Amino acid sequence: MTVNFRAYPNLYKDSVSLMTVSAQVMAVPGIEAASVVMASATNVENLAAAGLGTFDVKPNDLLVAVSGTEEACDAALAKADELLKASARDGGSSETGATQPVTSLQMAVAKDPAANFALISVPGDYAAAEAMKALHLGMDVMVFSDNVPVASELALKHYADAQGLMVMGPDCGTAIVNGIPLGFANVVRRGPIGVVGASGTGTQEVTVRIHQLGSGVSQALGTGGHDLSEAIGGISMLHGLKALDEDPMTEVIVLISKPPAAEIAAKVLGLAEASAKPVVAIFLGADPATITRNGVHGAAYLAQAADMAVGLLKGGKSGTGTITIKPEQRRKLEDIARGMAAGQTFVRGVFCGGTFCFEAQLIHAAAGHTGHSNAPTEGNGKLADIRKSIGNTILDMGDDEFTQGRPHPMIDPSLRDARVRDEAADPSTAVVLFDVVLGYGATLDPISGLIGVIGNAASKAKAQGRKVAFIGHVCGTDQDPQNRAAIIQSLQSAGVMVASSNAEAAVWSAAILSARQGAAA
Amino acid sequence: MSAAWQAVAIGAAIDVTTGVDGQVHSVFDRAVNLSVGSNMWTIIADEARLSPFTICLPPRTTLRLGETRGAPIHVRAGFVKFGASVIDCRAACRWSGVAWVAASEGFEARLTLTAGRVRPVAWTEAGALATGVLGALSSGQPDLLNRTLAQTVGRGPGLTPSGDDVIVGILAALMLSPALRDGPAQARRLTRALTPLLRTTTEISRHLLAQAGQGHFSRPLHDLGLALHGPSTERDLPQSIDRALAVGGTSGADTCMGLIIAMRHSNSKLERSAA
Repeated sequence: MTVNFRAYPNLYKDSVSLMTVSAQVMAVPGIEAASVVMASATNVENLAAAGLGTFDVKPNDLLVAVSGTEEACDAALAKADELLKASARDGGSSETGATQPVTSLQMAVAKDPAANFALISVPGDYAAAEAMKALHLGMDVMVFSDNVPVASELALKHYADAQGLMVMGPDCGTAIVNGIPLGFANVVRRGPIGVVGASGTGTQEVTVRIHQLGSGVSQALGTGGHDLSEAIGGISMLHGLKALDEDPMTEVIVLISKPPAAEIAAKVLGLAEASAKPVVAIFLGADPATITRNGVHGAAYLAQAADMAVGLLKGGKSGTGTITIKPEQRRKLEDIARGMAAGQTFVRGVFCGGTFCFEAQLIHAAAGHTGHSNAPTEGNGKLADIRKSIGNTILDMGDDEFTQGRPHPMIDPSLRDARVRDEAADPSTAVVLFDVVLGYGATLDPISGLIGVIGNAASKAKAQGRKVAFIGHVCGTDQDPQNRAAIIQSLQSAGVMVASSNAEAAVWSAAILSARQGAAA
Repeated sequence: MSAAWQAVAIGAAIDVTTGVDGQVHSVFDRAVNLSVGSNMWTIIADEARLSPFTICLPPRTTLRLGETRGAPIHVRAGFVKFGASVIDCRAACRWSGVAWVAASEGFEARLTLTAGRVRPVAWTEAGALATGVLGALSSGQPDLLNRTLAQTVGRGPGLTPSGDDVIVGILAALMLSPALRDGPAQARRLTRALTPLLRTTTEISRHLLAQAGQGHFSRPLHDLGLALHGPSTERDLPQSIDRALAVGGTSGADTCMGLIIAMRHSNSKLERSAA
């Protein structure tokens, strides 16, 4: 009689498979005894005691031990090998039936009468009707959908206001309600700073920065981009401001918007001034001095707004919140500028976040670097052909012109990556400036394509005697679904200068352009 | 291969909101084990087989993950991401075991019925192993308990050896049954004695035993305990037995053996002391 065995290191098979293998091995003619077991210490001892051999194995190994004629043992082990290596069958049987899906707001409320908030994300043609249904059911509403007529928005907001409810949106992409991120939003700590924002990525940048500064967010309420227009009158912004003023958890309030109509700005700032709580207001592009008044602190940039809010909490002072370049960083930027080829003059901004594009244009313009955009700020020109950059060009890749029939670049960054590739290949490009937006709603893998693009672009530029400066900013927190630290590390390894805020990235870019201009002069 | 799933339920012991990394430990036809921190999580597609460390995907989901063993896992903000695949756990229900109530009339008869169903399916030595462990535990002799456990842990067939399954069943009875007044104290003694032996068994079994030592048991076991203690309908108990037996090859049956024999053993001790 022969004894033989085979061990499979770290092989896991479920018990049913093991029993099947065991039975088939035992059935091989000439086999007297067989054991197919996990090689735990006790099992190994027992097999040895049963005369099936001694084994140098570990508990996670799978052990097939047989005794019988020599031929039978060989056949049995071959059979076991074949069975254990056989491809896995499809599994997934179930004894549980499907539950009835909830298909309407009424059904949802019937199922959970405590529900008091509805998020509407349906095609724009239907969004207002669904939002009105939710309001009739007594719920606050966030309308993620866009393309809702202004008349419908006004009707919704008037009705909500009369009922003491809030409509966030339409086209409200970002909110954090009771700690729950909604739409495109980041995972931030809860805390004493409340935010009302008419800009999605603006709200993301401010809430993320607050988290990074160690503080937290009580609520971040969105209003939709049209709310502060003359037609709508800032109904949601005013409602949100009042709500945060009454919210016991909120100690400091931040308001975020592009510059509203003058009459609406006066209304909002008047209410802010009347608040018992300090308010930081940023109307991107507006001079902070025109905003600042008793209890209201004007900010110029998004990161400043967060810095000032946290400053007000910590020391009771808002601080200046200005963005400065540290001397060593300035030297580095100047070195980079000096290393560029003649003709490398322009910035090419490729942004997923519309507000980041807007803010980057403002910062470049303030430094004397105006140019073009598909969504130009004052002083910049509108691109005639969005596919072709001219001079300094800063693009909002999330704008409708780019996203017709395609996912937003925060969801699918491939279009952004291709544009980065094209801009880096242009001999006149000095700086490629971009954002990476993390959080819920955004792709879980925002940079794998971009890293390849940057690597190739850098190699090609080097071969042509050029050196392109890649400057990026990652808007996200350590608690977001994506791995922020790993993303920053990957970008830095690819040679990207990663700034701590969108404003800082733009300031760095503008500094390089200024240095290039100096070199040219 | 990339895939995205919505989890329908997750066990109460799993924290998917705090960022943590790990790796895919092992992949089966109907389950995937993940090493996450110091714990092992399991992905399944059958809510009836939930446990405190399980993530359950919709029924009939095919877990085509053969290539992902050893792949890194990132748990972030309600998502579990491994390779190009991701599970969204944010909207999943939380499952936690329901406490067993005091045994109602007919408990002994239900126990007998269950034993009759379980015994033919369990590993032949499972009953003897359970009796040995319980005898050593109630003897009050630490050396005897250590010797007995050394002969039980890692013993027998199956991915989780039968001896380990038996011990899980015993721990469930001791920790969860309100009928066993000194059960929790005995469970603590058993857990302490088990700890140095965990390294001698398979990694998956090691986690199962460690989880049992912390009071974490699977839904089939919880449901069987509830049906045994009653009050229950005529259908509850047979269904619960079927589901408990459906776990693994003999694992479910061996666990049930541990549970039943522990209840019988302690009941008879109680009866003797009452007499």
